[in-house]
Amino acid sequence: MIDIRKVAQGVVLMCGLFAPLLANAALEIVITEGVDSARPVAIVPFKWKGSGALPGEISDVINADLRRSGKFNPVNTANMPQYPSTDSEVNYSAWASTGADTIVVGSISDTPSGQYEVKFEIIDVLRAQVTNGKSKSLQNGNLVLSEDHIIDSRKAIINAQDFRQHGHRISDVIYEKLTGTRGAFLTRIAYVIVRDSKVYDLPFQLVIADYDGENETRLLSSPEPLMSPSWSPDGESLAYVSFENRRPQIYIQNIYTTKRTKLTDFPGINGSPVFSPDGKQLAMVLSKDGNSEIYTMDIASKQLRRITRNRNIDTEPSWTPDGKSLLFTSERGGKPQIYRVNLETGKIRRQTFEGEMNLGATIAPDGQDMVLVNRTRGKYHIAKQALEGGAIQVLTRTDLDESPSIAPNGSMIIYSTLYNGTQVLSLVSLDGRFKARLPAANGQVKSPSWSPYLF
Amino acid sequence: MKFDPALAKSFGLHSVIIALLLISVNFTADPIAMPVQNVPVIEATFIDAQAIADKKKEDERILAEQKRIEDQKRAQQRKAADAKRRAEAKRKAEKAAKDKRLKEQKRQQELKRKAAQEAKRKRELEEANKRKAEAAKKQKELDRLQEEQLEAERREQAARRNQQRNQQILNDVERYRAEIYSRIQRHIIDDPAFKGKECRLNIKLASTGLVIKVSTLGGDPALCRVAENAVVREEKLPVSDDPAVYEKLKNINLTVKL
Amino acid sequence: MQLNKIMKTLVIAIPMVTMVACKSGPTEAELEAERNREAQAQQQAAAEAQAAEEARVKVEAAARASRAAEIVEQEKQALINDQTVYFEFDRSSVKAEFYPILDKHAAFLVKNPSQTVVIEGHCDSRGTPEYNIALGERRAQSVETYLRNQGVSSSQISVVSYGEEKPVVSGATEYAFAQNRRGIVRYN
Repeated sequence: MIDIRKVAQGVVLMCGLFAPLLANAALEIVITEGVDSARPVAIVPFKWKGSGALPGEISDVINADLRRSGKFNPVNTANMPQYPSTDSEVNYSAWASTGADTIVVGSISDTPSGQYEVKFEIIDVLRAQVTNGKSKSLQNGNLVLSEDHIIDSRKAIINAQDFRQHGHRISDVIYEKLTGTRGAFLTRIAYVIVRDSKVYDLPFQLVIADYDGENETRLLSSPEPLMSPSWSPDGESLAYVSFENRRPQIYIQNIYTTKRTKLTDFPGINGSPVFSPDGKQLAMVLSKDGNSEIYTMDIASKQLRRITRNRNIDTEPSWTPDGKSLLFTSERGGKPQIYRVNLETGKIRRQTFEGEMNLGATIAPDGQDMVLVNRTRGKYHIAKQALEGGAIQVLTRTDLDESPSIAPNGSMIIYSTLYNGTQVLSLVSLDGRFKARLPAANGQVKSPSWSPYLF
Repeated sequence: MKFDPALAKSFGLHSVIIALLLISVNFTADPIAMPVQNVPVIEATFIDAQAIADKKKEDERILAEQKRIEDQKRAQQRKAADAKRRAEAKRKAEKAAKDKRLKEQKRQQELKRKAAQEAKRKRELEEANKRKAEAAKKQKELDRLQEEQLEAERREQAARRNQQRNQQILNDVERYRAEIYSRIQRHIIDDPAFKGKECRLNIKLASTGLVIKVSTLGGDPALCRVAENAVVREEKLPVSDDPAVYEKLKNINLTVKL
Repeated sequence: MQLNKIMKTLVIAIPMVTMVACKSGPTEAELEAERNREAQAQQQAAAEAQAAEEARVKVEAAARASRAAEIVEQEKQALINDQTVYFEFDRSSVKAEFYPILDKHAAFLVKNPSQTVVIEGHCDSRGTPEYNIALGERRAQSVETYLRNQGVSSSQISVVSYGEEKPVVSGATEYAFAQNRRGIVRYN
């Protein structure tokens, strides 16, 4: 016969045995949302080991890049606890207490050939603080110093004129290491400047600049309007509209050779040229058939295909990343809204329903969101909406925003806006948190177009 | 040494009965019994005869004659007295017998009554005892039940206490989990670049809350760095002084999924 | 322009030359001798007169033509001073208040079939540049349709939209917007 008390004791005993086992199961914590802020990083001015003046301050370029990305909040140089140039000189805890998790140190020295050697290290000061910069790990059965607090270290030999570009390159490395996404600091933007026609004989200018507005170079000047520059996917050509012959015509111009070809000269509108993702076709707007309609043209054969047939305005085509559909603006529902046409089936579906008007949509590189110009209560702002539908999220608060163009890594939008009565270019991050205005040019700046990755 | 209470009671009872009986005899003694004062004469004679016989046989012989005469006389007297006495005794005896009979009768009646009373009492006692026993049995049963109930309650209470304790531990763990969450979360900066990415870390805490070890279980390297830094940045995380609660906090699997 | 000036000079010069030519006449003393000569001269004069007349007619015709051209030019000038119609926001229909202006252009163009015009469509800076190109074309087409309804040949009209690219008033004021939402009848 079983003694119940003994069994009970046994159960208690077993519970006692199990309790620590249960306690050993790890506590699960899931974080699904971060805080709305910028990550503190520190870019220590690179130590110049040579003589004479440096052609440029690389760390300034990096600082500006990281700040402009909206994701980082670089530590002010004046507030740095020390100015090390290599990992061995870094006082980790002093840096950790500045709030920065990551610091970048580097040096520049001159080479006998008159070039510059640029070295840098990206250091995780928090991890370094834990391991004291000397973490060991097993490699091939041997305990080796792994120095896993050094996130990356690189060196390169550059020419004097490449300082800015190299700064952008380092920014790209830092950005990619810290966000896991490719940086877009080595990209460029094309845009149109309209100067005062009383002063300039050729007030309309098509220019290309670094994404930050530096290194502006003029591709074309004209007495008549220039519109809608759009990059080819290989980053070598621009398609645009020129009124130089007192009517709109579409041109494609190589930005390196400056050689250009006139692609269209149809009666009426020749507008909104946009390269297909494979670069073989150009979507465009023509009104040769009496009304503004969307067409695609095979660039090599110049063969046209009409995509829309509607009495109302259809304009602003934009390719989906797979090249199988176009987004476009149409007035077929009364007011301009965004529609999507499947190029295989010809099926058209309305995409936007919120706001008085939605225009000029482009799709983010991930194919998830579209960025567009939304008009609500008479205000034109850059906004975002999931391609699959959902609410429109207005990203900007500036005035008369238009011509949004998305960086190839999908992080930022460049657009044209009115500031103090002048059209200028502005940046806004795709989440709307970070905003910046590019330096004002001498004239109205409009129709920005962000290049693909160039290098 | 142990008294059987029943035996003691019985003994007591019988003593009482006997005492009562004796008292009743004394009190019921008839006044007729008083002539018993004559009886010592006979006794004295008997003692004298003994003594005379031993010392003076001659005297005795004279005396014996005298005495014989006297004895005769006395015997006659005695005979008469005897007869009288016998009659008296007979009468007395008869009376005594009668009395005795009456007394006996009375006694019997009394006994009978007593017996009845005793029987009744006994019966009553028995019944009382029985009732008592039953009551005791009942009480015992009740006590047993009560004891059982108490035991059940005690067990239940213990279980409840245990449950309450577990609940309290759980509540505390939840509270600390929330605190730890917010302490780490405040260092994790939202970045659309991390959208759809995930990192899993394991965190070991000392009883003081000190972060002893952070190890990456897997995920996006850039996000893992952010997560790891967020934990390291805290150095110490809130833990309970209660060992049972600490036990459940010391080993944390952190998932960052933005 | 150059041809115009020459014509104007001729219009003035030729009659003066003619008047100077008319002043020569015969004398009393040499009537007889003169007769033949006169007859000859008359013949010559007649011939000359005829030639002169012919020249005069020719000149006058030229002058008339020139006058007509001048009138056309004057009319055109007047029209050029009133060649703009304005539109409501996001609208492309011609407002009735501008019918008289377009009627004058239509009448002129009907009268002068060799005249050709380009109708320009413009927009204010609200909305996207590409959408505004389409809207501007709508506006230009509205003007074109109106003119054709008034009898102007479609071969005389072409349209071009500049969208928001060529504002007449810069800035983002209601005044600027209203001034920029326009259709222009531009003569070639």
